[in-house]
Amino acid sequence: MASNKKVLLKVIILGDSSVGKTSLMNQYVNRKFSNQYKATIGADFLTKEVTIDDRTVTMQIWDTAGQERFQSLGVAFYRGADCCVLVFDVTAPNTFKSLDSWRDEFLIQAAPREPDNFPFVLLGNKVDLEPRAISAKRAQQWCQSKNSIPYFETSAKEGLNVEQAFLAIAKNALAQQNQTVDLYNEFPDQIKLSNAQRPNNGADACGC
Amino acid sequence: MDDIVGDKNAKFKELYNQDGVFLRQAGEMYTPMFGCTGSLYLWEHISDAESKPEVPSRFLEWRPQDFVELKTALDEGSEEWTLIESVKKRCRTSSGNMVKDFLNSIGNLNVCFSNIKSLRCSKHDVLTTFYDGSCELLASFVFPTSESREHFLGTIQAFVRLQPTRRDKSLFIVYDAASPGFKDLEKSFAALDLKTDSSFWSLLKNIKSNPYEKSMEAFAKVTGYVYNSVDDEEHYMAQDDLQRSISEIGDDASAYAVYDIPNCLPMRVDYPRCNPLTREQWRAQLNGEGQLEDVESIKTLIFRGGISPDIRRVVWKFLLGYYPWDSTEKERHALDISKMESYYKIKMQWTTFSKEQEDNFSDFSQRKSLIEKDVNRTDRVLDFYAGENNYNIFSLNNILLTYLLYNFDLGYVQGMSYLLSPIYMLLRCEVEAFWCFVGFMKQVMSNFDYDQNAMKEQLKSMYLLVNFIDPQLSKYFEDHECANMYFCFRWLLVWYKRELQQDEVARLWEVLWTGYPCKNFHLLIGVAILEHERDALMGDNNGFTEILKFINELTGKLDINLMINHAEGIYHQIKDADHLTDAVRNILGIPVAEASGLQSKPEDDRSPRKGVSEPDEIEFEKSIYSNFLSSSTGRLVFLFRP
Ligand SMILES: Nc1nc2c(ncn2[C@@H]2O[C@H](COP(=O)(O)OP(=O)(O)O)[C@@H](O)[C@H]2O)c(=O)[nH]1
Ligand SMILES: [Mg+2]
Repeated sequence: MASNKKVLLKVIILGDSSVGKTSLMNQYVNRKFSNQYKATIGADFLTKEVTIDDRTVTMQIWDTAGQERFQSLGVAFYRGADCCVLVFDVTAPNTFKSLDSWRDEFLIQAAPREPDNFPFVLLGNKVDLEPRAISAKRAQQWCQSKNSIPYFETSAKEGLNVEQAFLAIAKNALAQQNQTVDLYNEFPDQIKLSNAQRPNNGADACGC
Repeated sequence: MDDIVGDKNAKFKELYNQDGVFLRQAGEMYTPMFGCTGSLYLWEHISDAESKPEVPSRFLEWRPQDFVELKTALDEGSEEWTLIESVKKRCRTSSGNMVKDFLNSIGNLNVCFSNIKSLRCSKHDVLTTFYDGSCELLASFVFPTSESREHFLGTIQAFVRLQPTRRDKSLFIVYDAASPGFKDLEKSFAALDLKTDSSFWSLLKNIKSNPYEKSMEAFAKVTGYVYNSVDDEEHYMAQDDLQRSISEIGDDASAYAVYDIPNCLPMRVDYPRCNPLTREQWRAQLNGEGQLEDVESIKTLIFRGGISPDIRRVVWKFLLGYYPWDSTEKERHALDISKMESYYKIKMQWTTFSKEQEDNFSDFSQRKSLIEKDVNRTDRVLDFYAGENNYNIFSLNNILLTYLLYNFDLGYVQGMSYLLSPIYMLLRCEVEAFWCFVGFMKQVMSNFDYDQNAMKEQLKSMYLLVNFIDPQLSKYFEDHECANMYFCFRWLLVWYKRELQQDEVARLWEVLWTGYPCKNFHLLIGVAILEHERDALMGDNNGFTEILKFINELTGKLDINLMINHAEGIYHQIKDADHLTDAVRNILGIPVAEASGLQSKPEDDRSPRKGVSEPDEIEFEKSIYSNFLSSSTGRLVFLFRP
């Protein structure tokens, strides 16, 4: 049964500069790709409503600047995250090498309660480009070594696999949230009287 | 107060009547009516032989329009309501002197006009709030239109004078004929050569447009507030006037105390923006050698109005250190040549790298690829940088790569391409743009440091400045996990480049490059923006997320000239504040001597101005004060004792 409670899922996208974080987010939320996106400075987020198993949830997707030195400001954005999306560029080997440090940094700064079970999703972006530097197999191996992180190969430019990837991200985030929130949700919603339900007594009470 | 018109025979004349007035707030017992609309009346007692002296001469009345709504609220049985239900029927005479029997006046809100000691209203909205002598809120109304509120203010001008407080322009002291100081006020208004029946705002405008001569005179004399500037004779005169007027008032003076309330800012003064520096003004400053005669006055002109686009190319080269301010035409010519030579020397260092060499130099090649990716997403929406294989993008790339080798320790950091783009777009020359970029980077280099300490420091400074200017706003940030001010990060990293159009960026930057009127003026631009948006920021119980979104979405919506104007006003308020702290002084680089106070006071010295009041009373006033400050942004300068 669908619950009418508003669910907000907070998702953080991390990865080296220009791997396509902003493009992926915009492709997913606005179904658009543009060559004119500006480099992200500071942080921004977009929201999107998604339906998962009859439940409508709001995904709040956070996009931050990719350059390492700006991460010290990350604490403010990471807190309360339900899922972390790691992105690399399949044509740029360095962006793959940085994945470990992105993951570690996130776990340190966000400090989730159970770091080992915190959901990550890996996206290998720009698969429309040649030549490829990182094979799917290599990426999957890395995922295996990190407690079976789900892996998707995407192209923000062509819109390839983006929808599927974000659906998986939403599901993982929701599962994570249910795990932590279930305890507090055992009480029914408070019954509230709306104005319309108020007893109406005498519209002619005004004697003027 | 509910039964202020207990006398059934009292007759009242209607001075003002307006429907659709929304009650926002009033005394606690009226809580169920908050948010209702109703009619607002202003009644005047027609005195005759029979009338009792305790009948107030004028009062405000607000009657809810939707009686049903109110009844419903009553039937829910809140205890306070029985109190109101017991209010007796009243009789009044309306304008035609006809006796009208009023319905059971449940819920009518009455405010005796003589209790109103101050009111708050601003030109920008129709909210109007009335306070009593201890700064307690009496009632707060939202008028349906600005005309209806204007009419209301016009009506009350017939028997009271409204005087803006020096510290807060939207807060007005209400003087009636019985108030001490009323006569002085009249005189002063006469001195301002204003017709008393002129519209309320035009009256204010008149005061505002002559900030120096008129407002100081008016505010200092009339409200009796004394500026304590050492060097300004006029203020000494004002002080004399105050003392004279207090002695004239005699016994009444005890009912009217003037306080220097700690932690109050001086009134905001408007420093109007001027026209941009013109070619003629610039030329007029050049002597036979082509040397600038009066650099300070040129910088002042630039600070006040920016630079006319047709001479920006030249002047920016001075502002960014490409040419020294005192250089002659001949020297500049020589500089052009030497700068060109050295640029190409540095550039050659990377253009001659072989592929192999680059592969073995990963620190370089990684940064190179980062630059390439960044220039490809820098200002591509502008025609100048649009399209495939744009030569200008290629030039940005060259300049940034050359800068990379010029300053390899810093490297390339995201954001730099945005600092270069407007400079190159204006100069359209790699050599000049490079050296001007070097000049700009010298000013903001630390923003890009690896440890980001300079950025953190600036965010902290921003918080301190907001706290100084608008403690309510900083408190809000504090309470909503926003005190880190991270939402200002983009503003500060690239000096608002991402929030503005290219021509606005040019205007702002040239103003900031003058270094006037103080250090870190760019922070005050941010403070001005936050202050300007304060109501939206604090609305809807916004948290960090909402505030960040709101700030990010201000892009393209800022009126930068207005913000520069506000920032300058804020600077002067800070500089002249009696309670200026060392922390704030340091941020803006204000030397101790420049502070306007007779001497800088220790921060917790809260003693009032000389000869005003006994210590226990000060405590009393202070406690009222803190109430006022927490309930509104008010910075009231006067207190009336009943
Ligand atoms: N060919 C291709 N280019 C992409 C793709 N995703 C992003 N880009 C380009 O890569 C550059 C960086 O993208 P951006 O989204 O700004 O990266 P971010 O720094 O991670 O946010 C831009 O020029 C994009 O147009 C993709 O899937 N395919
Ligand atoms: Mg980005």
